Parts: sequence; C-alpha cells; structure tokens
Amino acid sequence: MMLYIALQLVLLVIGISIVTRVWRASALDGVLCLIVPFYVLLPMVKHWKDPDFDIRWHVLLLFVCAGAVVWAQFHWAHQVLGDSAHTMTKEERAQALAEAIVGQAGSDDDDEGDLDDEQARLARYQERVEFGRKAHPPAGTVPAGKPSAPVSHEPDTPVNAAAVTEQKPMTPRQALAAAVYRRGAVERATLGFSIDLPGNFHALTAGDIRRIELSRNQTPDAREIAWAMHESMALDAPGAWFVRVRWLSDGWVSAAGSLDGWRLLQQAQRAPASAHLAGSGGDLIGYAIAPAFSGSVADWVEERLPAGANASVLDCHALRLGRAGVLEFSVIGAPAGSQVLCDLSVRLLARSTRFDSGADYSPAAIDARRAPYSLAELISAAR
Amino acid sequence: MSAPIILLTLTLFAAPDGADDEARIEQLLHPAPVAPAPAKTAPAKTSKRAPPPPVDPAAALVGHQVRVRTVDRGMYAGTLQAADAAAITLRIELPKQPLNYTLPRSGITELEDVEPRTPTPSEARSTEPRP
Repeated sequence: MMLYIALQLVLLVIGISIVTRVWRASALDGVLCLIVPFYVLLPMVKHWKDPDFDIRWHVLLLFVCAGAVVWAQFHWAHQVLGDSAHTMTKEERAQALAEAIVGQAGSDDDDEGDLDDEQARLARYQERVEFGRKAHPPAGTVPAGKPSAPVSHEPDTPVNAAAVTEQKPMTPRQALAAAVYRRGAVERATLGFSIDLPGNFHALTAGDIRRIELSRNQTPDAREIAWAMHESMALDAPGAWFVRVRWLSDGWVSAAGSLDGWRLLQQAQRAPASAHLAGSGGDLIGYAIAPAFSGSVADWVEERLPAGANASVLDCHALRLGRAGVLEFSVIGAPAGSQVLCDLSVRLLARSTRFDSGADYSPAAIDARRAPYSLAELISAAR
Repeated sequence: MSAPIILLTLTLFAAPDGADDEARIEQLLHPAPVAPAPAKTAPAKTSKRAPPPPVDPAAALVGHQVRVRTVDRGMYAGTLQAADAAAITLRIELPKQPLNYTLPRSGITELEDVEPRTPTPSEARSTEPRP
C-alpha cells in the first residue's frame, strides 16, 4: 500500500516536471500534454537531445513508474481479497459464492426475461448447487471413460479455493438477510402485467425467493414470481404468512357459468390436491370462504387437513384471470380462524393487478390459447 | 363553501375498493384494544318460573346429512353428529378417514338438511294407490 502511494507521488512529480519543460518550449504543447494521452511523445521527439527541453529520460521514467504502479495495484488488490477470504466465515464465503452464482444465474428476476428464461436460470443454479453438494473424488482419481478436465489457468487465490471446496447454499437466516424487499409495484413486462403493492405491503422477487427456498431445502417453484407480505410480517417469525404470486401460463381460462359452491366442494373433496395451484395438500374439510367470481377475480379459502397433521390449516386463493394465463395469489397453511385477513390480502393483491391492454382478460377468447381447464375445474382441482 | 364538501364527497366516492380492504387488513393485523365491558347487573326476577328452553331445531337433524353456511361465506357438508347451544359437530367423510369437525353456533348462518325426506304416514297414505 505504501509502495503504491509512493509510486503515485513519483509519477506526479515526473508529470509536473515534463509539463513544465514542454511548457517552456511551447505553451500549446504543454496544455496538450495535459489533455491528450501520449501527446508527450511528440515534444519528446521534437526536442530530442535539446539540452533545454529534452524530456526523453523523464518519459522513460514516467513509463517505468506507470508500470510499477499497475503492478503495485494488482498486488494490493490480491492482498486485500486474500485477507478478506481468510477473515470470512464458512457461511459468509458460501453466501458470497451463492450470490455470485445467483448474480449470473438470474438475479435480474423481475422485469426482464420471461418464465422460460427464469426456469433455465433456475436449472443452471440448481445444477451448480448440486455440483457443490456432490463429494469430489480424491485427488488423482478420475472416473474411467471420462476425459480429464482441462487445466485451469486462473491464479489459485484463496477465494477460488474456497469456492471449489465450499459451494453450498446459504443458511435460511443469510438468505433472508440478503433479500431485497421491493415496494411500489411488481412488474413483469414480458407477461404484460404489473401488481401495485398496497401501501403497507412489500415483495420479494424470484431471485430472492429461490435463494430462500434453496436455503430451506425446498424445491423451488418455477411458477412463483413474487412473495408479497405485510411490512409488519417477518418471514422467519413463527406463524408468519405471505402471499405467493404465481403465473399459470397455460392459456385463457373459461369462467362461463356461475360458481356453485356446493358442487365445487363435492368435486374438490373427491379430487386429489390441485396440480395447478399451490396448497397444503391433504384433504379438503370445507370452504372457510366459498368461491366467488367478480371482475376477473375469483377468491376462496379452503380449510384443509394436511397429511399427518392434527389441526386444520387454511389455504387462501385469489385468481386474476388474464388473456394468456392466470395470476395466482395464495397464502398457504394460514392458521384456522384467519380466513378473513387471509382472503382480504389475496383478493386485494389480485385486484391491484393491472394487465397491459391486449393482455387483459376477456370473457371471449379471441385468438387466445385455451387452458386445458375452466375456472371451476381449477378451483375444484377437477383437472 | 360547498366546494370542499363536493370535493370531499367526490373523493369518498372515487376511493378505490382496495382502500377499504387495506384498512380492514390493518384493523385485523393490529386490532384496537377492547375496553373492558361494564359488569352486568343481574336482571330482576319478574316471575318465579323460568320459561321453558326453546326447542333447538338443529337437534332434530342429528344423524342427517346437512350443509352448513357460516358468517364468513363458509360452506361445510357432513353428517350432523351433535348439536348443542354452543356448537355443532359434523362428521365429514374425507377420502382417507372420517373427521369430526366442530363449528361454533355463533358462526353459523344456515343449517340445511339435505337428507332425502321420508314421507309422513299421512303423506304416504295419500300417495298409496287406491283399490
């Protein structure tokens, strides 16, 4: 560090002496030396061996010192990175690594790219994490039939060594701490909608969700695009709930006919848990709030008994129909008795969704791809 | 003078539906502390004899297949197992095992019998073919 500063000072002195000498010969050359890179070479040639204005030794010294400064800068940077890698805990190194991977794999989670891109990015991320989890064979043993890996020419810095030995996802706490909560709106320009978050709500977008799910050893849901929650709700607090926002890209959904709650209940109790909507699984006890449909939004609350559970839980759903698919808002596993709050939250978010013109729902599917299920079938998990 | 009133009225009517929902969410998340209710004084006895307790119509439906609607727009269906002043118990046949599910009476708005009604003796007689 000291060497670097000293070299910078020497460079400054040399620079001033060059400009002073050139200025004495020609003020214009002096100014141009200050402004134009490498212009100094011109006065050097012009006044070659001129005892009053010769600057060839100055220029030589200038280039030597510049080279030394560059070297000192690299040396210093390596030293700083090495020190920080040594002082980082295992978890911090893993976090830095995971952040780097997610940064490549898709930290740009909200606006750009559609779900296919996001699924591909997620697959790449999972592959890398899985790769990190696999035990490496002992040194020198290469599986038969597989070509040996090309030799890396990267410098073997401590950071790189940590990356190789400790590729693993973050702890849930780290993943939550690293999450960025967004306010205002959650936009998906490629899908043509935007969700205006209510004043006291904030949201996490896909990249943060993936990290949290992986840190909890949960399988990431490729259809999830955001988690929205009230600002007073801490995700790691017991009993915390949040709204999962999912995009069902199966196409236009028919909402023809009225929703007969009793019939839906009967069908849903016979059907296995929904394959399309997020849910707690298990068996449907009844509707804590029966399905209703109004203004392109359907909402209902299921009371379910998850497999092996002693107490029932609530799954709250609101669906905002769009032209090319359905935007699902679901609270999963809410405590029994909280149906009003839960339903209000999902319904509010569903109603706060704005589709672009042409992407909004229309009762008649004009040139739109049709989903293989109707609204009633989606609610009752009949298909 | 009337301009502020008109503006206020317009603002109230133009307020989006979401504003109400947001306010209710806040209310449910952060309920205001309830002031303790004043102690009730015992009602003066007007007669020596208490009136007979009203007959609970739900008691007649025990063993029947019923549908229950709740105050929150809820729907439950099952066989009525028990009914008292405080709660009713439904036996709901789930795919894996039957479940006895209790609902508080205060939360029920409608209890509907869906059992196919057996005709009364007089009805049965009237429908019998005459010789």
